Amino acid sequence: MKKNVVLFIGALTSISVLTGCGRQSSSSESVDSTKAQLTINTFDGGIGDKWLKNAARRFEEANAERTDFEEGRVGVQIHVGKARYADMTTQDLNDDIYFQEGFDYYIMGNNNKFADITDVLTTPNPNDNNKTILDKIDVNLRNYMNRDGKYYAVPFYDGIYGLVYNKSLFEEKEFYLKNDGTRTGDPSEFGTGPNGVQGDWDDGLPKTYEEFGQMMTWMRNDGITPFVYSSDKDMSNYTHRMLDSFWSDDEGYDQINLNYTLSGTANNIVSGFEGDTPITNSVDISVSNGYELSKQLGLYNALRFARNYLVGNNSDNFDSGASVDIAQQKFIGRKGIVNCAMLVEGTWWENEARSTIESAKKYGDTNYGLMAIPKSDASKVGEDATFMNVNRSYGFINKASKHMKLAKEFFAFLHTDAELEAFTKETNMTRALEYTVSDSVKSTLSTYARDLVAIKESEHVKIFSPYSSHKFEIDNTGFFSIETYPWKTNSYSSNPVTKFIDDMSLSARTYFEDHASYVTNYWPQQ
Amino acid sequence: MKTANKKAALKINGGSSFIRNKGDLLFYVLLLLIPITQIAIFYFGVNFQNILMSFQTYSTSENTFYWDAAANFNRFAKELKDPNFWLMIKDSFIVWIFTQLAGTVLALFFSYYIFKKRKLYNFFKFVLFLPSIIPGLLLVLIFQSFANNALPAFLEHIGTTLKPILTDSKNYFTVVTVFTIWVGFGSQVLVYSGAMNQIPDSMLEAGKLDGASSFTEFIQLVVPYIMPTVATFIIAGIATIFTNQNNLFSFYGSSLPGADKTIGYYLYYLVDASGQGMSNYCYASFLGLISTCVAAPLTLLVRRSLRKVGEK
Repeated sequence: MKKNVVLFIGALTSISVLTGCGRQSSSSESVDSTKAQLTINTFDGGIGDKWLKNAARRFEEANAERTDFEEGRVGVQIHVGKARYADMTTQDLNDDIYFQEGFDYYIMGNNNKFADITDVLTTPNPNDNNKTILDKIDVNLRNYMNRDGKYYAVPFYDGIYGLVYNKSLFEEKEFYLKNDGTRTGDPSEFGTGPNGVQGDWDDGLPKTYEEFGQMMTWMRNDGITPFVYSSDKDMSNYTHRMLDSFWSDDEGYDQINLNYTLSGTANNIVSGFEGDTPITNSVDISVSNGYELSKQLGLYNALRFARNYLVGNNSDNFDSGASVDIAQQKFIGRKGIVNCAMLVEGTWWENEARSTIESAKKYGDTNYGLMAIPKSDASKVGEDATFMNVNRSYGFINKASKHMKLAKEFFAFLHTDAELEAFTKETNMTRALEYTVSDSVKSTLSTYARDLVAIKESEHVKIFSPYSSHKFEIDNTGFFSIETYPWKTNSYSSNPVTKFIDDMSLSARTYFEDHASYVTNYWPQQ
Repeated sequence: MKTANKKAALKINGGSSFIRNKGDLLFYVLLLLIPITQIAIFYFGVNFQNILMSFQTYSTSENTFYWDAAANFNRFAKELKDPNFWLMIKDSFIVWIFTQLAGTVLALFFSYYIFKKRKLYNFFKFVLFLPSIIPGLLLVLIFQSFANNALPAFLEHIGTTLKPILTDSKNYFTVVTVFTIWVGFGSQVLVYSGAMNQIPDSMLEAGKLDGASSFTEFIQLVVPYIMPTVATFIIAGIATIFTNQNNLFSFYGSSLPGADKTIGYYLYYLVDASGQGMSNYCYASFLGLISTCVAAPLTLLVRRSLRKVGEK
């Protein structure tokens, strides 16, 4: 008996230890040794691997007769596996191509994981209207990824965080707004939304923080919890990443970009307060005084939104889930009963919550959408929106790949407009690249994905990539880490939303001043 | 042969003349080889680069380390002026006091209970030792699941609610410290109860004949007898003042709910926080060097004090 107990405990311990190890890619497909072989590894998360498997089949079919990839072999066989890495930068990589997230481009490069794919990115592709992949990459990201004229990766998916809302519930409960700020559920009465343009994706959504607060009051009065978020330690940053977009939207593209160029004139630097009203002035920004940007009015307004409207002084404003799954379940509802109007999430959420959404369908179809960013005051209604794309996912070719020619060709194939559109069709997500989605494909997308495509295509929306090619910022990645920098303070870590939820006596101004003091004090030396 | 050994031993202890017996010398050298090799590899070998890095900075864009002795010192000087740094020092000592001192006292009591084979002693032995055989991270996950899911669900079931204890900025540090004490209990209890088993029966019987109560027996016979073991734990624990992350990184990663943290956590954060790469390695090395400069004399001081207590 004792021996069995000892064996059982030993086995339990071994399993526990093994579960802590990173998972490697696995594909159950048998190897066809008559064909050239390629292995692809993608992130084991919300996006899934179906899009990649389908793309691989298309490539295999198109190249079934090719003999030039590997001597003595005809055609191609591509194996797709999924994995999730705790720290990819120090792992041995065995696959040819990776689409993974959560690593730093420079650190991966410094650790010799990337193959040089400059030729793949800069060569016009005759199968893609002679476009180059580089042309499809956002200018900030392009400059950031340029290391002495060479490129090593391609951004993977759009990482826009925000509030997902239940369109069906909004219509049923009349949480949409008319232009005069009163409630409605009738699409013909919807107001213009914050961009001031009638007939586009943000119609009927709150134009200002005030209207957003009013909408939340309607929700509470109707017994609906306005929003739910995940309190899981790895996902709690969703809330402050959502605020990133409130900051960028309030400052606008050029002003927010100063944080990453450290050169130019900042127009809205808070120099003090008169009562609760911030006093602003202009400051010429350089590396030596870049800390002044921690006093940008947009940061204060985003904090003001989080403190006074989103969290407010009412714990009925929000609910939390111990994991993303639980938060998603609370948002989607159980047995057709929906008690929550909005969810703090990222662009991949629908894919991740697919099974919950499918099982909820037996109680009726539900439409979801991306909440527009309300303006800090009425005078800003009609200004273009600026969403922050906090992407840290990339596709790259393993430097150690033994099938470089095939890997590069497949990589180029994956980044043609046709394949990018297929990605969106299959995942209801968008790649962090510039491409068009046809109307016929749009009609197959979920309503949430249609909003995503709409903001990418809209002339009234700018997508900002928070990447700096400035040596000063790259050399101080610890200080400027995208995970913490915009909201870090001396005392409150880096998550204002959860901090305000935890301490309702804390004001936006106190948080703002503590943040400015932290950045000023710890601004790295040149 | 016995005489030769005695002579050799005397020479070794005296330390003044060469050991004449070659066999004894070989034995002596081999005996020292293992600890010396260990120190050479695991202290000097491992820390050699660390010590160099304390006087360097790292450029991510160029993937190069540069000599810059002032950079880390200036950053440290800035931190010394920050009240949060002193809060971190205070928290590190609080954790040390609770996990090492209070934890040791409690472990001694429990060990004595088990040693005396009182009611359910085997059960307590199992329960207290259980955390030591389960990996720490798994225990963290179990505790997280209990605190975040099971406890709120149970409280909701009985009609009451509780603020999530792990995300509450005012209480999280206390909760995690209690957790750390609990998971660190097992090994101490095992060692102390093992040491207590070495106490000669005749000594305890003599105590009984003199009319010693259980408490007197514990204080005057048991604790003094196992004092060398206790002292070893306390001395070894000094170094943990600056390295113990108090399970904070395991629970929260780089997103703590509040300002309370230990130096150990801060070191973890500097070298392991997502997206920071090696940019903080040099400063972490510098901080480690400073910690060693404080902990090393402190360890010697405590060792000397405990030796004096033992002599009394």
